[in-house]
Amino acid sequence: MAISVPINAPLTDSQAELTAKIGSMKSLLALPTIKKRNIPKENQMSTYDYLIKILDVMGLTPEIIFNAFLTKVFDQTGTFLEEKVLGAIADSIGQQGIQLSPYINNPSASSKIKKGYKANNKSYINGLVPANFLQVYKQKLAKDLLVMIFGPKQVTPTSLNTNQAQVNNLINNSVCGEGLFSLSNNPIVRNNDIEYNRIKLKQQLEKGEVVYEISCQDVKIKLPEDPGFIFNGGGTFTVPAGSVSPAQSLISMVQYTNNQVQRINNESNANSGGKSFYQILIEKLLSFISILVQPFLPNVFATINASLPTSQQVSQSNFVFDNCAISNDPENDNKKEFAKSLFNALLKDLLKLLLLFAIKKFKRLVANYFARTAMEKQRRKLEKAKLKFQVFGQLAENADKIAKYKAALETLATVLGVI
Amino acid sequence: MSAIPINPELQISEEVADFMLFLLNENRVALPKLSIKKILLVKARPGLSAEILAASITSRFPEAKIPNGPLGGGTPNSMEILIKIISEEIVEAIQSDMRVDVVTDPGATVTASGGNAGGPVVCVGATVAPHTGIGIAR
Repeated sequence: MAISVPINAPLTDSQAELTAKIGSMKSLLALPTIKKRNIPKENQMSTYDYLIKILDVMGLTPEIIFNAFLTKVFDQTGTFLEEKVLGAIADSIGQQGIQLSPYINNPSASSKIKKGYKANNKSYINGLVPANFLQVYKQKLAKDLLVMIFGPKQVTPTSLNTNQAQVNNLINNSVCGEGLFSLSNNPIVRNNDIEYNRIKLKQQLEKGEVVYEISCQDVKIKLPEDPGFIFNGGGTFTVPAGSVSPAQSLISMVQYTNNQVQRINNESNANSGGKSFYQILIEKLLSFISILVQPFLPNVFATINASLPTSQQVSQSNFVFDNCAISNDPENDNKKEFAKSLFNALLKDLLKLLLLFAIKKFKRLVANYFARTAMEKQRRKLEKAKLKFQVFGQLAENADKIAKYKAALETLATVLGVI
Repeated sequence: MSAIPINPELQISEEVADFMLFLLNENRVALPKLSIKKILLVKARPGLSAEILAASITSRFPEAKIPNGPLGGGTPNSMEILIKIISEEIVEAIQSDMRVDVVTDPGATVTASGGNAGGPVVCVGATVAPHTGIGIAR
């Protein structure tokens, strides 16, 4: 075999520089160009998800805000929920082109005109219906919410709701509500997948063993045998304590779920599981609230109708629809209006609480960050200056080079001896 | 697909991000204006040195959990070499290519003296237009 000696052809500095520069220029050209992404609003991350994400990166949990929100919604002395419900009724009537007073019935009105009808209806209804019409039902609302989340269908004397017809209705609406509401961006789910999810959810709710995905794992959650203690205080083996507020009961339920997750997992995951379930609970509350309040609306409509002539009276069945009616006719905006208005009104207040909390914490973080970095900068400057003075000792800044050198050398005198 | 949509007016995630970025910018500590005396004192500065800069950066490697000095088996510390190269190139670019344009505000006091048949004349005034200048960074 012939000997082949590779040729040694080194590059000069300028040749090497040019080839390197050309290489780096080619690499830069190969980089993907940064495009300003103009994402339509409906495809952007939802405000709720984004605020949760911001709180997460700041190392905060939204638990405190969820507590405040639940307390606000289920406050037995306040009228927060009642105002939202009355607003939703007014919106639903206005959406169909009806203004109650002075009476107008114009179904083909533009959305701008309908907005005016809705505002007028709201002030009219607020003047008629007592602001606290749901006050005594708040605990029942909380109990029914848990029935919609956990089931079971079979009613026992210790069930949270002992009326079989009501429980059937709640579970049916819980199943129909699957995929109807979302605090996140709309996921791409095919219709047959939704049907499959609904069937699975129905089976779980009827059995009373619901599987939720908490912290990326499926967790089977079942209400305790005697769930009454959640609303009465105390524990399963203790004497019931004093009355607890509905919000406190729901917070206890989150704790109960937390414990169930802990039983099947380690403690760190249990905590995150509990927090994630809190988000599930809040999402379910917003989704189911229109169903939960419906049994208490006939009195509201009766009060409204009492002041209207017979020909102008409004019937609940024409303006308030349940989840099954909505999901069976998803293109009908009139049927959606009550649920949509109530869902968005509550969501708006939840976002307000989250946003104010995030801004407050962010302001503090930014102030601390700049103060800390300024201090660090100052400290480094000071240390550098100190070092300089240590070397130069008492010598003035403007001493000549030889004097400076001499002074610097003197710092080493302990080793080098006197110079 | 969810049939009950979120109101478009509640879709403000981009606005939230913009607002928080605004807060971040607003809270930034603005550099204080230097007095003329302090600016004149910069004459005493020794100027940029790539070696000093590289040494300052590498001395802070431990803060970023990066080792100093040769690695195991006497392997040269590539990170230190890279920092030296970067420092040299940046300082070289600043000293060779950087351009400093200066503009002075109008209103600089001007005094002039002269004389005529009536005797000596002293004028005091101010510049009315901004003036440009050039400088080099070292």
